Formats: sequence, C-alpha cells, structure tokens
Amino acid sequence: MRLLQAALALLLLPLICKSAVAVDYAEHVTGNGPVTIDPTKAYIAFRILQKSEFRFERLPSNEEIAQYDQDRRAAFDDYKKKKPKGNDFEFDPLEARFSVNTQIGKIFDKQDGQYVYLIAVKPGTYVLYGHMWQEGPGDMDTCFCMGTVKFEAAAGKVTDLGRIRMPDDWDVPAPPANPAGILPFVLIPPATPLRPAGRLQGLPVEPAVLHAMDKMPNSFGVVIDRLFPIPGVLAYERDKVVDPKSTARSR
Amino acid sequence: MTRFGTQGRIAAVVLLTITGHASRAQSAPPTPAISADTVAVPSLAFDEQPEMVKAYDKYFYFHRDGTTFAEALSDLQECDGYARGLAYRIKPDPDDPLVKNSPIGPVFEAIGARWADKMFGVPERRKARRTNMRVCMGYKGYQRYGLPQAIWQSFNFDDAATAPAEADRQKMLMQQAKIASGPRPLKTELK
Repeated sequence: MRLLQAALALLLLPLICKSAVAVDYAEHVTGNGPVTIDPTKAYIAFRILQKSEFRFERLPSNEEIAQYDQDRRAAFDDYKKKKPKGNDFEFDPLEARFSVNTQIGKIFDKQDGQYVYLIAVKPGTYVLYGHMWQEGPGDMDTCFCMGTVKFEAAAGKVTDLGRIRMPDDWDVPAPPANPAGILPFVLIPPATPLRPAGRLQGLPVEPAVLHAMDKMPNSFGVVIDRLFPIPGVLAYERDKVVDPKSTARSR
Repeated sequence: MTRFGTQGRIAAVVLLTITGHASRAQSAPPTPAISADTVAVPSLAFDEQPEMVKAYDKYFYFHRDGTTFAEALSDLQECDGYARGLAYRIKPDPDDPLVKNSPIGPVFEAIGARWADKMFGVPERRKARRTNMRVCMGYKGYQRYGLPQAIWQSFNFDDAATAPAEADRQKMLMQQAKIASGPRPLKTELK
C-alpha cells in the first residue's frame, strides 16, 4: 500500500510546484555582438565550470528596509481583517525583494572552458548569497548563510567576481568537506591585473573588491553552508566570520 | 513578484502551514538566565548494537569541551534558527491548468500535494535539518556522538511533519545544551 502511495505521489509530482519563495531573474547580457554598457547600471561578471544559477542580494538601505516593514505590516493587517482561524500569514522575506537570481542558460561568453555570465543590476553593495535556483527553495539550494563576501557594483562598470568553484568541479582539487560531509563552494577571485578576454575585452572591467560578510539568517529555509576561506578576504574563527584585513568581525 | 503572493495565499489556504521565513530575526527570543541544574536530561547509557550504529547519521547529539550551559544553549538556539522553518515543501501550483480550469482541480491537487509532501517533503526536511544542525554546530567546534533512536527522540525533534510547540522546543534545546556542556562522552566521536 505504501509503495502504491509512493508511486501515485511520484506521478503527481510534475503537477505540483514545490516553490515557496522565488525571486526575480537578473537581467543578463547575452548575444554575440559588441556590448553596450548602460551608464546607469552596474554589471557583475562571474565564471563557472558548470552551468548553474546563483543568487545575489543587494544590501538594502534603511529606507528600503523601513518600506519593507511597512508593507509587511499592511499585509498582516489585511490578513487579520479576514479573521483567520490559525496563523498562516506568509510574506516574502526581506532578502527576496532585493535579490536576483542568475539564469542557467543565459551565457555571456565561454572562455578557457568556463562559462562567463554577465548581469546588469542596480548599482549597490551585493552579497554572493548562495547557490540558489530561481524556482527554489528545493533540495538543491545552498545559502552561504554562515559566511560569504560582499562587494560594490558601481554604475557603468563591470565588476569581475572571478570564478565560483562548484563542489563537484573536476579541474582543480576540492577543498575539505564541511562538518556535514558536504564539499563547499569556493570563490576564486580573478588574477590581477585583469586581462579581460573574449567579449569582455574593451569593457570597463574591474576586479571586485571583496569584503567578508557576516552570518545571515536562513530566510529562504534552505541548506546552509559558508564560502571556503579566501586568503586576505574571508577567514573564520570557528563560526565567527573574520575579515583578515581589519582583523575584526565584519558587517 | 506578484505571483508569489498568489501562490503563497493558495498554499496557505490549502495546507494551513507556514513556511517560516519571517524576518531577519533569526534565533529564538532571548531566554532568561536558566540554571542547568533545573534541566532534567535522560540517561544516555545504552548497549550499542550494530543497527544503532547504522542510524547514527540520523540520531546524534553534540558535545564540546570547555563550554558553559549558557554558551551551548545560545549555540543550539542559533543553529536551530538555521534549521527550522525549512522551505522545501510540495505545494499546489496555482498556474497548473488543472487548478485553473477545473472546479474539482484545486481539491484534487491539494490532496495530491499534501500526500506528495508527506512522501517526499517530510523526509527531505528531516534530512536538511540534520545537515544544517551538523554544519552550524560543527563550525562552532562541537563533536557528534551517536544515540539509539528511542533515547534521541526523548530530547530531540525533527521539525519535519509538524513543528513542536515553542515551549517544548526550548525545553529540548535546554536538555541538549546541558548534555553538550556536560562531561565529555566516553564514546568515539562521529566523523
């Protein structure tokens, strides 16, 4: 009977969406021809060996956080007016409003066997939030909630983040597994001075100036980890995130 | 982002569950100073059997040398914050033609979603909770030790099908903290 139930449930799965909260897709630069830089937008470039999706969060201003709180309160007031029996109020987390997801298929260029992605975003300070699928959270999402990096993405510039090493990339040795036995993600900053190649040639490309980002709550309710330490940028004392440049807690 | 709202509403009505991603506030409200002496913990003594060892990846507890009860409780509450309200949940899809075009579609799909969640969502959330507790407590330097399921269940919860009442959750976290900060177990730590 249990087997039958499982089989029927499996049949039903394609009909059902498991997404709880999704965020907007980023605007990607794709195509083949020359690239026109919009001076009002900031651009983020990163490389991965295997096509995938990542999430970036722009750190909101105090005014934006206040607006979010106000919207949440208003939504809660509306909810209360319906005189609910239980407590099933839902409102997207703050991060959802200020995050964008990259899109697996929207490749900008391919260089040295790696896929280069280029996204156009609102200028600001961005956090490499996690390996998250836009339609998540599913069982394949990881938030770098216990330590990651942040960087400035300036208008009219391409900020080069470098390469994100996926846990199962095969071309460079894997770092040690995390305490749950899972291989971590590694951010490999670009070699400087930058030598923009391929379609990046001629664009105002600058290496991302990376800073340690402190722990963040698991607002999307996914599996957590942290980026592997980055020499000179991101270190840890047990679970404390340390910025080696300032030898102080980040944030 | 409007479609999330629709989806959220439908899911909320159908499943009567919350997904728990509420705000930036992560851990539980501050607990007033509690003495470990007032916290009763179960005996962790047992005769190890091979089938228990096989299940140690599911049933374990944490311990760290040189840790106070207050530190352990704060660490466990923080890690519980990372491991609670996990969002992997199978829900009806409001854009599904079945839901949109058929009067009985929503009912059919709601039952199906609930069923599929029980089959796939619950085990997945249970597993993700274990992972997040291991990641978080592991980075904090705690070691893990295995337990038989029956003892584990007496002071742990898996949060997967239903969440424990907040008072029960905090009581169990206190029991875990007393054990985590108590004498070092005479067993081999798990890798």
